[in-house]
Amino acid sequence: MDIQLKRGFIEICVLKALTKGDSYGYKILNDISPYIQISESTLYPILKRLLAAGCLTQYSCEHNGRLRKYYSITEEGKGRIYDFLNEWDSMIKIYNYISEGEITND
Amino acid sequence: MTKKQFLKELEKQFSSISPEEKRKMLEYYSEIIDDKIDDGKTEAQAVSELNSPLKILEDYLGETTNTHTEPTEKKRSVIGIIGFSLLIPFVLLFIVTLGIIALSFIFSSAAIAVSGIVTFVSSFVLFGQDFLIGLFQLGAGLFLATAGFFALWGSAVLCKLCLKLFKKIIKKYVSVYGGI
Repeated sequence: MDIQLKRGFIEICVLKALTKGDSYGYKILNDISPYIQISESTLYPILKRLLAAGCLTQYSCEHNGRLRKYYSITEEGKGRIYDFLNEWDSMIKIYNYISEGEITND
Repeated sequence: MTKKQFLKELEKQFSSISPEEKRKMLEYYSEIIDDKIDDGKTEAQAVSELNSPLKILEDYLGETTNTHTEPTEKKRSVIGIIGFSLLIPFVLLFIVTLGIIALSFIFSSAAIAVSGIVTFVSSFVLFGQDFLIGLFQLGAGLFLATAGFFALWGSAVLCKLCLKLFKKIIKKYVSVYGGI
């Protein structure tokens, strides 16, 4: 998959994973890995960017005697998901246009 | 590899990143490893599932610098080409000038040394005519010869320094404007 496209999808998937409640790095990875191929090293910069864009907030909470970082989605982040879903209609139109008929060489 | 070793390697790989950013990164990976262990994995297993520190750095740099790197690189190479061609005459002139100065030092000190030797030898002829004048000439000859040799030695050292300087300049020049 195209890198830019994939990056965009992962962003939306991360946001979606947080709509069910606050979550932490490892859990986010496990929640979205059935749908899109992702590793720890790709999640980190994406979390960083979403935080910078105001789509997420983070806080630390104690767990098993250590600190764990939790992320929660903001209104801005929810807006991104709506935008994505709205765009999808036009993306399907584009897809249908591109895929219809046979592709010839001339 | 243990968690500690992994984090140490990661820290080394991220040496050029700001301390604050590095700290966050290490916290993130420390948390991921702990969560994997809580999930029932061994420490070694948890660490082995992670990407290598080098890959982590690549992903980090790829994401944080993404599209803005290309135009600056192009710009630099254009400046590089202009700088390279503009500086050629200056660098050549500088090297030639330094070379001429070094050579003139060698020749003039060699000349002093030779004249010293000639004065020294000719003083023996003068001894036959006048002892005092001969003695004076002997002293002057010895002095000139020694001064000449010392100057020759000094020039040789100077030449060596110049040669080193040439090499440094050329190296720097190639590293800054090279690769075009």
